Amino acid sequence: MYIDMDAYFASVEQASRPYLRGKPVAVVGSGKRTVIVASSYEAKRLGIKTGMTRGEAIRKLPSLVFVEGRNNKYVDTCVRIHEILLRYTPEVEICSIDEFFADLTGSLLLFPSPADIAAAVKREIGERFGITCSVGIAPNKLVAKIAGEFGKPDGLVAVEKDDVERFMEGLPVESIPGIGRKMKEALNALGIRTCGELRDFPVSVLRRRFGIWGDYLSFMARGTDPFRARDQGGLPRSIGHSMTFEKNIGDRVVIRARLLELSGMVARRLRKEKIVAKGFSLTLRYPDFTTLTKRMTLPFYTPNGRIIYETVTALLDSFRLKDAVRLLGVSAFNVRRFAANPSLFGGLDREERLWKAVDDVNDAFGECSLRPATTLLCVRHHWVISPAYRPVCFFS
Amino acid sequence: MLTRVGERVVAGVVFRKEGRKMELKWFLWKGRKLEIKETTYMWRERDGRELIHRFVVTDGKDLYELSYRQEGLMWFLEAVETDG
Repeated sequence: MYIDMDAYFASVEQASRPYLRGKPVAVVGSGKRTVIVASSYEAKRLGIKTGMTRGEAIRKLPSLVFVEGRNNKYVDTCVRIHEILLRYTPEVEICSIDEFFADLTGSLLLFPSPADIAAAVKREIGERFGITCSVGIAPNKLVAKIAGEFGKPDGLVAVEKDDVERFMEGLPVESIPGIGRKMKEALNALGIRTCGELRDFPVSVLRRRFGIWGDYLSFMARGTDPFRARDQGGLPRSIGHSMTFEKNIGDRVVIRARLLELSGMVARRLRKEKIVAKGFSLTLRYPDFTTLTKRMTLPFYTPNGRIIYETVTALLDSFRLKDAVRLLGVSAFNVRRFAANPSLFGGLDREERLWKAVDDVNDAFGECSLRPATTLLCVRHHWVISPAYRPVCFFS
Repeated sequence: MLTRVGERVVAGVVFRKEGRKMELKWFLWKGRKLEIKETTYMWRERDGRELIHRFVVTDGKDLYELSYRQEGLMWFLEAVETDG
């Protein structure tokens, strides 16, 4: 069962503030230059899209209401929705702050049917939080997700095993998760517009054109999930943070200070989720919105903020900056679970002990109570988490 | 219009046995007793070790954000939102 909250951040704000209900609402950060991270269905219908700047949005829709996002509100609601789902099955995966997968295979002896569970979950979420969600039920995660998206908003779509191919047949190819604009255009150029056409297309031709992805596409068009065997055991694919600044930054000293701050944030999340990474990327965006990303893969895994910082500053040094930057982002990818590396002399090494102490202080007194002095160069602003953010348990 | 307040207030609360729920009934602010008609949203957040319960409530006219700091057993009126 796939559960996707409808226009999550905006719906939570509309539930909190009854006067916003029925109005076009956009959730943004506190800065003047933040972009829209979520919008209500009323706003979406009138052309407001995630990623638009405030200026673009207001030109498009002068009646748009901007609301400053409240991260903790969304995270806590996500945790509570997770608690609701755990009452029906222990097999719940939080994909992002507004998406969940629940494996109901073992729950069917206790409840009449998956559709009954879905209806109960939808009802409880509606009653407790005043928001809606879309649910897809299917034999695998791929089709459940497609069914969930198909029923948006506030839908409940169940696809039986025998109906999977029929359900997929008429859907446009871009319904398949992972098929973006470029892939859609490439498929359209081959005369493929629907999943049925993709299914019937010779795999050998798809393979020649897209490599191994050709096989995956053919599988997915049949409603078979080719990635099931590659389940990462709940690991996120990447962990990253980015910041859009009030004023463009041209001074490399300040850019480095920001990278130190972002690296520290990424490292803190890696440690919190008990994972390590060996790939790191730096993203920067110029005032004209040209966005560049460079990546580096290290020969070892690490959760260490200093190493992340050194990696991304090395990436920064490989850029010849043509202008000041309006956004910086640091991401960790190629992750795996942290397996304690036994030190020769036992216990943690000096740097690990230091970071453990820093984490303990910040756990006790709040985020950023203790941080590198260099980051004092950075003026802190309230920012809104990305909807792709995946909470870990906070309240235990 | 949203106005930040951040003042400590006295609040009347019912602690429900069922569902471990806290139900705000009224609070005193500026010498007035404001009766709460509806709690529109509630959530929890952490400030370090301290758990904070936040409530958005309405007296039928304006919206108020109140917080309950569990460690110090204190209620605060955080913000008032008038007329949307």
